[in-house]
Amino acid sequence: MKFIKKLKEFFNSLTQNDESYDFSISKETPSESQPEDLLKNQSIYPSLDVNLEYIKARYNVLINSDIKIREFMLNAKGKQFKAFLLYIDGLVDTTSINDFILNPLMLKNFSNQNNDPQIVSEAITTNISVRKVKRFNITDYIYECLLPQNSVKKISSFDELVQNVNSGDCALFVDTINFAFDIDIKKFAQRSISEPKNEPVVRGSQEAFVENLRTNTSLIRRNINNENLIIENITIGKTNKNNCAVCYIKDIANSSLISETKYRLNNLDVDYVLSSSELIQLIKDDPETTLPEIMTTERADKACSYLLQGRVIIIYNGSPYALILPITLFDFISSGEDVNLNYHFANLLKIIRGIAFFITLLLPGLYLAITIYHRELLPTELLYSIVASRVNVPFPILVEILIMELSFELIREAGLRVPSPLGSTVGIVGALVLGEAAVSASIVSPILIIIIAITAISSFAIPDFSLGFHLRIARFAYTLLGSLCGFLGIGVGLFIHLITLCSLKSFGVPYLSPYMPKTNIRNNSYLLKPVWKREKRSDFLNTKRTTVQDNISMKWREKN
Amino acid sequence: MNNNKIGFVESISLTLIVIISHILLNLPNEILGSTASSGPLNVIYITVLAVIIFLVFNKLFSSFQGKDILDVAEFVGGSILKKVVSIIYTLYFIFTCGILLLNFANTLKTIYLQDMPTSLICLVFILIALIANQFGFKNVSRTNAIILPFIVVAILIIFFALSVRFVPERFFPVLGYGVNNTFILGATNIFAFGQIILLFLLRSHHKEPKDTKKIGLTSIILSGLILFISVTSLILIFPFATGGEGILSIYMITRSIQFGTFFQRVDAFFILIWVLTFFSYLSVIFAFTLKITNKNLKTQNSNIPAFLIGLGVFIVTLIPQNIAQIRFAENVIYKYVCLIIVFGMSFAILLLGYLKKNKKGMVTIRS
Repeated sequence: MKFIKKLKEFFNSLTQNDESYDFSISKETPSESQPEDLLKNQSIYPSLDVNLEYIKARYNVLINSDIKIREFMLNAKGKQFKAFLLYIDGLVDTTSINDFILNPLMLKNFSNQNNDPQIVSEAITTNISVRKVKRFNITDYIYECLLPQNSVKKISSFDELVQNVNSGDCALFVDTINFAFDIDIKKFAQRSISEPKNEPVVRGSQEAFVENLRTNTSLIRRNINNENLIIENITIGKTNKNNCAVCYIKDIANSSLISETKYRLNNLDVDYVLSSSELIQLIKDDPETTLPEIMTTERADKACSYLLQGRVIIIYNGSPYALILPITLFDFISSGEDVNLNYHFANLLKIIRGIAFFITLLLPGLYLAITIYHRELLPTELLYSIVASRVNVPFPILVEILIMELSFELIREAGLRVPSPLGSTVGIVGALVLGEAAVSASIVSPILIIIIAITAISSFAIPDFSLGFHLRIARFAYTLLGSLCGFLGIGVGLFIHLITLCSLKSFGVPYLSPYMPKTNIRNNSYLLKPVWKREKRSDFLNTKRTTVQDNISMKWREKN
Repeated sequence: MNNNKIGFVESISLTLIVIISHILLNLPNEILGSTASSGPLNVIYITVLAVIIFLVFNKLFSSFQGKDILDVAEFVGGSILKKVVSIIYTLYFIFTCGILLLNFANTLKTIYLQDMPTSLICLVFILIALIANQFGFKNVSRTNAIILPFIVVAILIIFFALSVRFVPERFFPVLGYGVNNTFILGATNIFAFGQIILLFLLRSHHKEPKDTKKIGLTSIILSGLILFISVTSLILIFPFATGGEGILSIYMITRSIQFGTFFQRVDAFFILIWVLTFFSYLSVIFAFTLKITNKNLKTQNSNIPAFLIGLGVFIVTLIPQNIAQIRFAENVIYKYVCLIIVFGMSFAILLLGYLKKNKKGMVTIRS
């Protein structure tokens, strides 16, 4: 019987559908007014209990583990008031809460027990004493006497208060008071200031930005000792209200540039912006172009040098990169190292970088155009050696180049993504595959390896990561155009590229400034002038103060 | 502020690029064909003539500050004359453009694109010019200003690279086919400066209207210099009877350049420069034709007119059946059409405008 039962079960299992565990996310039906929306735009109530309930509802205290509410009795002048503190665990300095908030508010010391009126001033004559006393007011008393903190604000809107608490402040609610005290006691674990990893320099500051906004602004303050340095905070995002700081020097930067920057930042209707890179895409002039229109830097000294030129810096909380705007193409080919070097060395490096720019962009395309269409350019011996090296290669030159370019891009991407101990392994494998093995297997010719290697090395000489990306994309286009119709194709690419560059603007500044449209090149050309001759700020920035230094900056050379 | 205002450098480069495009094709050859060894002398002569004519035109324009020739035509004969003049200029540009493009495309085909149909090459150029015009007049003029120095440097390189192979004896006889051919009949070679018409259409786009005279004179003198260098290089390398063998004359002389041992022949590099020049030239002519059409039709959407202009140029490139017809169109039809429209019709309009304006002024003073 048991056997028959088992057999039955077996046959049943064959015919029945497989009912394994299957989960799919059901569709939510959005109601017109979410319960969360009802909690928005509320003012703080005078009743502590109502405020408490409101906070519990808004912060989902029953399920939220790190929201802390500490209820206690506040002692002031012998009277007791119900109160509570609201803060987020992990964002605040708990020692400060214990010692400098709860301690003065809760403990009954002599002066706090004394119910005598507070004397503001006293005049004593021979037999008459006149005292000016202040009537007891709990809010003033707490603010002036019981909170020994440097940053305390009175806030009457829940929205503003919640935003501050979310960023690490502590809120004090007291019964009968229709506002809350916002106490700044932020303290959380953060990365310390370290060396720049992606923009290393030999001779220059070794301080890089970190993720914390205030640390970054302090780095700028430390570098620019001027009271006209303005650091304005702007909140971005509706769901995730994150702060960004707009920095500029008031008496140098152009007013319309500052206004435009703030206008764009204030008019972002987004739920959240996760990083500075997302912010760039939201505020750049032409969102479709692959060319970078805003520069990023992790170097505090570089950001400061651009500030002093009259540009605007945006620092986004949570991102270790500052955004520099407006920017031109030639800024992207300049390095932070240039200003730290003697101008002769800096200019040599700039010229090399300029050559690297063109090699990165054009070399594979030119190689294709020359070898397919314009062989007359090459000396006969060289042409023979190229042809001989390709005898065993079964692919056309275009396929050969695409295979190598693709392999190189794969190795580059893999090298970035793997954990750093494995990075060198990827490099070695890549070098073997790209170099020796591919040639031995007659997949590619040795000359092509040289072309791709020179292109790759040149691409690493481009200081800006975003511009490098643009050049990589454009290089593929030039390769295809060169293979399609030789120099005519390259000409098509160059012309379209040029006209695109001419049409671009970064916050109102033409991308090819100061060369096109031509402005005063004398003081802001691509090549650096000696330090003592850098007398003017860039013309295209239209700064309030145009002069950086006098005609004769080295006064000590003047004879008395 | 008008966003289409352009500066001094951009204005000069617009005129220069158009004249240089003609130089790259058969202009030096054509001049040498009619004057022989007196070609360089003839170039100096027609440059001086062009300067004088420009100064006369500029004087006639003096009563019309910030206005272009179409505005003057409207002042003279109302909107009907303006429309007629606009149509003539449009057809003139389309014809010039088409013939030059076909000539250049044929040359490219002869040099290295044997498997590609000429019409396809023309189409590529027209498409690029149309795309360029989507970026607007200002960006077209800026791109030209960037490309121009490379072209000028290329021409100078050709001159200096070939200087070691110059045969000075080829300058003689200095008067070539004679005084008559050099100075009387040779005066018709002023058609080489036919594109100064752009200066009269560009007047309303100058950032500084007072620079108009300076822009015009600089453009003509620089164009004359480049033409002189080209003609001189050509005559000192080839005997004038040889000519350019029916292909781009400047290209032919670049084939004689020997540069070290690394490059077998450097002429291919110059193809890249000439290609860029032609893209510039076409986009400039398209931009001007579009400007005339838009002014005439008073329309802001320039997509359809641009497409029609492109189509017109393409149709012109399809008309000549062989090289001989292209040569005829370029050397005879273009030459005389240019002389009639640029130096005849434009002068008449300006003169009438000047007289009418002065007459009005006199009447106002009397009243």
